[in-house]
Amino acid sequence: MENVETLAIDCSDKATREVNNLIRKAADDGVKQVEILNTQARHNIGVGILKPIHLIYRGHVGYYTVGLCDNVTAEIHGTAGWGVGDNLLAGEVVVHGNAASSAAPSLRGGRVIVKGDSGPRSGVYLKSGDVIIGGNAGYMSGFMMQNGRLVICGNAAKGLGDSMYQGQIWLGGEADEIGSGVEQVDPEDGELDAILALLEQHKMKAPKAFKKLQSDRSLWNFNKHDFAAWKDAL
Amino acid sequence: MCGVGGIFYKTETHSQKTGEIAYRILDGIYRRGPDSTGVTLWHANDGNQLYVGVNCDNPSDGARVLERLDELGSIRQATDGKGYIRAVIDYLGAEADLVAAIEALDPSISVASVGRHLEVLKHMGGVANLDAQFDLKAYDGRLAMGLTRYATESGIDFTNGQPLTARANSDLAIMHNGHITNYHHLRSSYALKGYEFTTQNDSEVIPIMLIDEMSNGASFEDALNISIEKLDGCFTYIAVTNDCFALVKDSYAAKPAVVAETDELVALSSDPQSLREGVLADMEVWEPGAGEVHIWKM
Repeated sequence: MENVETLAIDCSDKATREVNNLIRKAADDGVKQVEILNTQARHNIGVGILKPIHLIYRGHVGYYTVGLCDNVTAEIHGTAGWGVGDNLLAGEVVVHGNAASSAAPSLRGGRVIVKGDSGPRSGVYLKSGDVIIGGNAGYMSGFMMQNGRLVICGNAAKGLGDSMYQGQIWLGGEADEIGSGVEQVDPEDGELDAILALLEQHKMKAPKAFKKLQSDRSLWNFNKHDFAAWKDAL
Repeated sequence: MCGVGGIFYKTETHSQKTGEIAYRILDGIYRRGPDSTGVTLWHANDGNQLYVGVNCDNPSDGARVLERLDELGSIRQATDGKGYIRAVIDYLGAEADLVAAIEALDPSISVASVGRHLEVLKHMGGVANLDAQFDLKAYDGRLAMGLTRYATESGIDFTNGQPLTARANSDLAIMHNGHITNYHHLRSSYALKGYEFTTQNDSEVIPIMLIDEMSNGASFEDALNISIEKLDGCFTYIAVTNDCFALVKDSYAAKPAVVAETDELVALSSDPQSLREGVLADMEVWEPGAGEVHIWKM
């Protein structure tokens, strides 16, 4: 398959493991891209791919799509189920529809872009890299994030960034409520420009303005005199 | 884990049989709950008929239950599902009397549901078993909502299976995915108020709570919102009444459920895959957020 540019895989007559093995083999063989057909919202399609390859999902996908991958780029032409891009080490995943709960959990590098809305806990435990949401983000997005950037062009539901350690949240709209231990700060020079460049690169409409949010570090160390804040944090 | 899902048609006429779609949706979430499967069906009742479901985990009790039902009213239709009796009877008396008369037969026999519009069917295993016993696919009414159960807190039997109802109190059935962690506290407080519990399933507290709140004057919608405040734990549940149905999510959105709505229908499921395969491959699906209540009127 060495000289194949694009390999098409039809999921309709294959077990999930078979599809993943075919993708892995294509990556081993140096195939540039794989077109995945008839995804039918199935779970775990394109998981554990550790060599560079480009995946094109023609349809809706289920849970943990592009999970546990390294150096993989992917475009999903449909909606994505829970945990899209789970634990991605490097690469880029673009969802052209909406994403369900826990989009890009524990992202360690690379980028996950959701052009539509994203469900609860988007960017949960974000460790590095960028999560960009074109629409609105659900409840407790950015919960316990440790680094990286979470960019939300629309509005956010309650508990945005709750218990975050480090990293940045860029919010274009309004949050129903900011989570515990989060403060709004002024952007540093060039930070906003970098975000806008990123949006432009992906042909995403930037909101009129962005608020920058980060950890106020109040939850970093336990302080018994501040018990109320801790009770509230959980 | 459990899976919840089903189909609601906005009008009487529709392109695909309700029961067949419900079958495919529930089959698609079989792996979320292989222990037992149950459905709530809605009927446009224009007569005196009462839809009765009876748990009798000792299958040999079926004949006695049917005999008792025939004494209480005239049976129009009945199926002995070997563990669960489904019957449609003409009955005009008080529903509580009927429940008491059936349960007097044996402590192991309990009434799962009585309804003027709602009928509850349950069977062990997947939806194929339920269909083989009760012919789900033949149902062509407006609403079929069900649950595939992965038992975590009570026995794997007919009695503890879902859907669960508040029995004699009205047409109300719930299908719950999740767990209620303050169940024991809630159950004892409702038991003190005189509510009877027939299962060991934590989900049973939900219909009782809704009935209790509504008897205190709350509207159905208010009762659903109160349940989000009062219930502790993770839950997504579907509640069906004689004139509407609702999807309720806890304040953490910890249990999945997606919705697809067209001009013709509303379809719900714990898993988008079961909607894509069960209803339409290319529909817009969305996931309700934390602490949300969505109600659709019949």
